Amino acid sequence: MSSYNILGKRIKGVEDPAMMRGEAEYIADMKLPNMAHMAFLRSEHAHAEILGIDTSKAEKMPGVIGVYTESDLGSMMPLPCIWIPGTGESHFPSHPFGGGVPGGSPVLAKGKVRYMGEPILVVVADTAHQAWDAIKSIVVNYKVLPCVVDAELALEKGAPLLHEEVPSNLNAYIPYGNKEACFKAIEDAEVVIKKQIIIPRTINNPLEPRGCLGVYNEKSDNYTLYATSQSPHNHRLLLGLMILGIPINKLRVVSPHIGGSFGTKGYIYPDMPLSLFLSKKIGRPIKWIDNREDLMRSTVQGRDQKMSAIIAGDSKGKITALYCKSFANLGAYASTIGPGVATAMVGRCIAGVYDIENIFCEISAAFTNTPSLGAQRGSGRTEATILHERMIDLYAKKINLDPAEVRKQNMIQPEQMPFDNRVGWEYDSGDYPNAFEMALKAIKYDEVAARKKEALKRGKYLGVGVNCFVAISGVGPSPQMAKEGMLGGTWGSANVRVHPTGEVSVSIGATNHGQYHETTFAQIVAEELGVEIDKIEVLHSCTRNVPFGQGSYGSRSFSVEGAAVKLASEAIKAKAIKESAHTFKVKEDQIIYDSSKGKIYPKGHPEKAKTLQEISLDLWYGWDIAKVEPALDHTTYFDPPGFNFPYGSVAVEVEIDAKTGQVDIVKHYGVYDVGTIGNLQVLEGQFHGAMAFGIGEALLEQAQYGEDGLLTTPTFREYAIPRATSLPEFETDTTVTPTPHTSLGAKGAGEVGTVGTVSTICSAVTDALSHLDIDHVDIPFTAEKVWRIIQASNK
Amino acid sequence: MSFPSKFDYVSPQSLEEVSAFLYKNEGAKILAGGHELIPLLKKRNVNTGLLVDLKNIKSLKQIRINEEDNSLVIGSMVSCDDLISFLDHEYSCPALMQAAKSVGDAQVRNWTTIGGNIASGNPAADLAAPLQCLDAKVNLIGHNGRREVNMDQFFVGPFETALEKDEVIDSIHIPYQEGTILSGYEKIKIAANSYPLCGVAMLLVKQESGKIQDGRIAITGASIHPRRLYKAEALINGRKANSKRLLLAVLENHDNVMYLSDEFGSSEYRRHMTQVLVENLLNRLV
Amino acid sequence: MVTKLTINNKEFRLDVEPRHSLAHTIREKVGLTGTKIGCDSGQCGSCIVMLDGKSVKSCMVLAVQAHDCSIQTVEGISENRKLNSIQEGLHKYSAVQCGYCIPGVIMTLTDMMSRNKQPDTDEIRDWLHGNFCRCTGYQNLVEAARYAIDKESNSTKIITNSKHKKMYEERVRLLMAGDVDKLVEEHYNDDAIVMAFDFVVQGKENLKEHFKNFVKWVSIKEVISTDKFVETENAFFYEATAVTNYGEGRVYDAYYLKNGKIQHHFTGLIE
Ligand SMILES: Cc1cc2nc3c(=O)[nH]c(=O)nc-3n(C[C@H](O)[C@H](O)[C@H](O)COP(=O)(O)OP(=O)(O)OC[C@H]3O[C@@H](n4cnc5c(N)ncnc54)[C@H](O)[C@@H]3O)c2cc1C
Ligand code: FES
Ligand code: FES
Repeated sequence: MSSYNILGKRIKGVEDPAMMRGEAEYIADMKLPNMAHMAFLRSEHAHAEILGIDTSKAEKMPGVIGVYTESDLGSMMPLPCIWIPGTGESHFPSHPFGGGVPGGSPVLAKGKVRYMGEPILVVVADTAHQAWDAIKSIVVNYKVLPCVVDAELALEKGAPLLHEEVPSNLNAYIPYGNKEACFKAIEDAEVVIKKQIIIPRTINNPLEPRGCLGVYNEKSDNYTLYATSQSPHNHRLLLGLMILGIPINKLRVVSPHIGGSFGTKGYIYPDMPLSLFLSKKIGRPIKWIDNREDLMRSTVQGRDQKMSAIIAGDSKGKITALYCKSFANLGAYASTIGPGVATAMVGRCIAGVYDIENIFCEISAAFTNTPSLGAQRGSGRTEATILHERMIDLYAKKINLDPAEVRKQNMIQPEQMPFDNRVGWEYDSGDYPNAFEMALKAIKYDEVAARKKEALKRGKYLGVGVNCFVAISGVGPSPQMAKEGMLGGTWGSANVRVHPTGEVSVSIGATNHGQYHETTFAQIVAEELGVEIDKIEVLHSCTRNVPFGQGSYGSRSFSVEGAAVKLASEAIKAKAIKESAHTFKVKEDQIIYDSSKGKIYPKGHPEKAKTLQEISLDLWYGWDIAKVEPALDHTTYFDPPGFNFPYGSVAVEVEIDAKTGQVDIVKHYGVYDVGTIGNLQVLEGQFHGAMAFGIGEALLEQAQYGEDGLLTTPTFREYAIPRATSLPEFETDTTVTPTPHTSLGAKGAGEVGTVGTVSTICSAVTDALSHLDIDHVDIPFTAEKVWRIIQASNK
Repeated sequence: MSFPSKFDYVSPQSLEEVSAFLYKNEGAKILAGGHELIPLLKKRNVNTGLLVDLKNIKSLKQIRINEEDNSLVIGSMVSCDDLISFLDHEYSCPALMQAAKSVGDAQVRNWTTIGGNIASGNPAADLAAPLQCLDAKVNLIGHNGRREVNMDQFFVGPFETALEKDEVIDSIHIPYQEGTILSGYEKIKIAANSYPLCGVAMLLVKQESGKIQDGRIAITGASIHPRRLYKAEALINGRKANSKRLLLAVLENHDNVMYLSDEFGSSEYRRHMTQVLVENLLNRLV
Repeated sequence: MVTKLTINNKEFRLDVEPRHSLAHTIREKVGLTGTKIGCDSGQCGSCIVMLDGKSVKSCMVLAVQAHDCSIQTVEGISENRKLNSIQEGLHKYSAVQCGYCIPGVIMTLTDMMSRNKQPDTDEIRDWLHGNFCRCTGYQNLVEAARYAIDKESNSTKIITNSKHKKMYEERVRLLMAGDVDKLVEEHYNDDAIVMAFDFVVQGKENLKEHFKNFVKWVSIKEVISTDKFVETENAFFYEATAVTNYGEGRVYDAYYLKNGKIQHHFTGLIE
């Protein structure tokens, strides 16, 4: 299929042995001499005034070094938000940094708490046990205020107000697409269907809770922050510039091994500046490790959209318009990039893989008394895909056509690429119909009727869904991200250094937290330069090791940072060829660089071949070299000219137990096109994990808040995530359509599995219940919910 | 991390000492497998000055068949996993076996105890249902000596049992039962935590004629505490084993079960699922 | 409270508070941080260790409860840092994504494989019920387990606390000490058959005679590590890395027993 020797191959992960032996160091494993420990006291209420705090007992407890509230923070600024949602109006609390930077959340609550779990104070003590004992002795006197947890209700007149500076809790209203044309098309249409689709709050729950270790070194006046951060450089910038007000060359941020993130660890949290600030104050390193229950109520959460949609078309299956009005629940404060995740990532994605003439989406993002919203694997795109795929199913049902036929009829064809989706994205490349055909075939779509019959004999309702998706990735072209309101660059960077001894050090802008970057990025270099994998080391996740790096989020690592690595490798190769021409005294075009063998020689004389190491040694000595700078070392900064758009098609077969409502996934197939593949074994692992995430969301997961704003699913006892026993064996396929925007050709791969899965399970479940005249059920499909539907329609 | 508040710890060698510790120390708690107790301590929902660990009392870890009356005697510190091994090799009791195998996960079964399972008074203790069907007796030792409580008297409310503060479970006795015995356990698992949303154990002693001489049904997870469905049983005794329609009618109308309603399921769902499981068991056993 | 724990065959006497969990103690007091904490409440399985031969969640056990017990953590599952078959499987299938669940998964699979059964896919998944993994969707973890099971197959098992292992260790000791008489006396039946390469020796006298040759000839100077100790009811096998007169190499040794003594004995160097 591909002409690569090493790229795409199932090379075993160089990262594995340390993790399998328990030797890999995660944040909780770090220990520094004289280290103190920090613990948070968090709000027990969703909305309350703090009338008083009694810390007298805590201050006297053994080991306690100090109790710190908001009034002890000196000139520390609140956490900023760096994504002002694009084109419409937006309102934020102000931020003292000025220059239009929006305010995010306070580091510690000031007089008022706005969600259950909001940090009020910290205790620093000699041991973690002592800090915790002290926290438990502190009494806070609250005046509980009315609260609101639903975005739509928060915007209603008379709803409890969260921020004085934000009228009627509206963070932003943003329209996407052409309103007039869309409404006109709906008016003119033969068939019009309306539906409300609710996508609940979810909690990412990476297995490793967050943590940090802040160190201030008095002698050098330097700060070091070890933290579970997906984006050390960006976090350094925000901490230094907008929170602590310290020069960023005085601050180093390092991510040790990270135990999963799925979006949550890309954000700035109060513990980060606090541990640094207090470390300086007490003259000791300060460590903080979260616990599960606090994680559940204080790390960013996902999804939470309340969408009302209209689809319109003719009676033969041609869709003419799609409209969506959505309420996005931002939580109590704008997280670092939360507002963008909740808006553009949904609004610009609702066209999916379809050529729909008239589209309009309007999103109102509201503040509510819940923890801040952030990214969750597949964020925005998953919600948008649920929307368009659900609406297409409903439309097909209404006009009595097979939904697969409707999809085919409206699908963007390969020759239409690049394609303007009319709500803001330009799709780069892809053959959507091909993926769809593969999925239909895999699920044996034409034999479904027979299988349904057979299942019914066993007391099971069988249903099949085959959906399509396209998932914008590869953040991204910085100017375009700026238009979306992102305050920061999003380009890629890489440094490749061939040592005189032949080993290669590659520093990347990505931050590995479970994606095998050390292996897959080495494969890019190995492919290009013909150096053995075990001679290539990949450096990452440290602001000192790496010139700059935008970090890992939004499936950008391999597709953007990888592209930069490829460019840097190409530059190394070009220089090596130049130098070889000098050495062999031939013209450059007479040099053969055989990457498969790692040999460089003049055309026709393979016996004279030199290795890259020999060329490198010459260049590092610099005694007699071509007209080039000495050394073999190249840094690239690369801003891709456009986003990339991985896509695919997913087929799911479910069986619903007619008596219990239990939904079982009996087959789960996905074909994904992520452009050039880095490592097929690793890629399949990403697919599986993302598909499992989607199943969790579709069947189990929901962060539930009571009317009092309290989380009723605060631990793993209540919040279900998928287990080995509840998941099917996944089947996956790949096709390869490289993105034209980079020489590597890779597209985002980490999230695609989730994006297509949730909507497809929705289709399959509604198909299974179709004989009951059910057209839509909101996720998650818990057994009781499904059972109730079956009961209701039996009556 | 979350940590319990401070407490003292003892691990005595005899049950009498245990009971004495409990009697003398207000708020002292017995520690068995700790899988119920330790999370409560960590959350500080339960605070105690003294934990009395049963691990050093060897006799509590034994399972044996009493030669006098052929009853099965299970020490309170027998783990689910050891119970499963024993039932696998030396004693057949499908209902108890299936219930034990359905508890939590491999590690929970390896470490948590039969005594802890019922002593916690958890309304969703899996083992409680089969033990009730088996007419088991709980053997207790306290400050005032030894006594025996029938399983159906053991649970008095959610997280409330017949145990006095100074009492400790020594063992659980399962009487020998003559005749052709069919038994089984089925449960609907709570997705988040594997406890039974509703679990049903059934035991049928069949006569040669095929009639049910003694039918027993117990539920766990579904109501405020594990319990027998005596009225339903009365209606099936003496009937042909296939009279399941009758049984369902019984379930719906006669046994005043207080079905639980909580974040995991409504009382309505639990009630219906109880019926489904009863029906499944009847289909399976008969 | 002073608590004695044997962790990965090393004895520790630790002063712990009764409220310290075993997980906390292993990590913070002993410094073995391979055991992870994901929920600290018995749900997620990150903290699983082997305790007296069975897997348990160490966040749900107090250190004082484990007094006098033998504990194995992920750091102690392979000798000489060589990957064992479970680790090999995980490596082969790139099943170690963020890696946070992996120590717990490895310990669960270690318990599973010690149960002397050939679990099928559903049973493997059942074993993993208490191990949360948010990254892999479990599929490659299951593949890895299957790989390990296949590798260790033929209804044998890896033994951690084997009665035969004691015998084997005693045998090695006598062998090293050159005390062949005692070795034969204590461990071999009169009519034992010993096969090493092309030697076949029968009967005690011959055996003794041959055995001398055998010792000299194989001349195991040092057993560096014994891995893969496997036993059935009446036999045991092991593989070891040993220094022999051929230099350092891998040795395969199989013993079949009768009445507690060795009846057949095969030895060979493995490629
Ligand atoms: C993740 C997880 C999943 C679980 N899943 C299930 C499940 O599916 N089904 C199920 O039934 N259970 C389940 N459990 C509960 C578990 O099986 C035990 O029932 C529970 O942990 C109690 O047993 P223990 O030995 O751990 O007792 P402990 O926690 O030590 O004790 C529980 C209570 O009983 C008291 N007690 C203990 N032993 C005695 C005794 N001999 N005499 C008097 N009082 C005593 C203690 O003081 C304490 O109050 C689960 C637990 C966990 C952590
Ligand atoms: S940390 Fe022990 S089970 Fe989660
Ligand atoms: S590999 Fe990340 S949790 Fe399993």
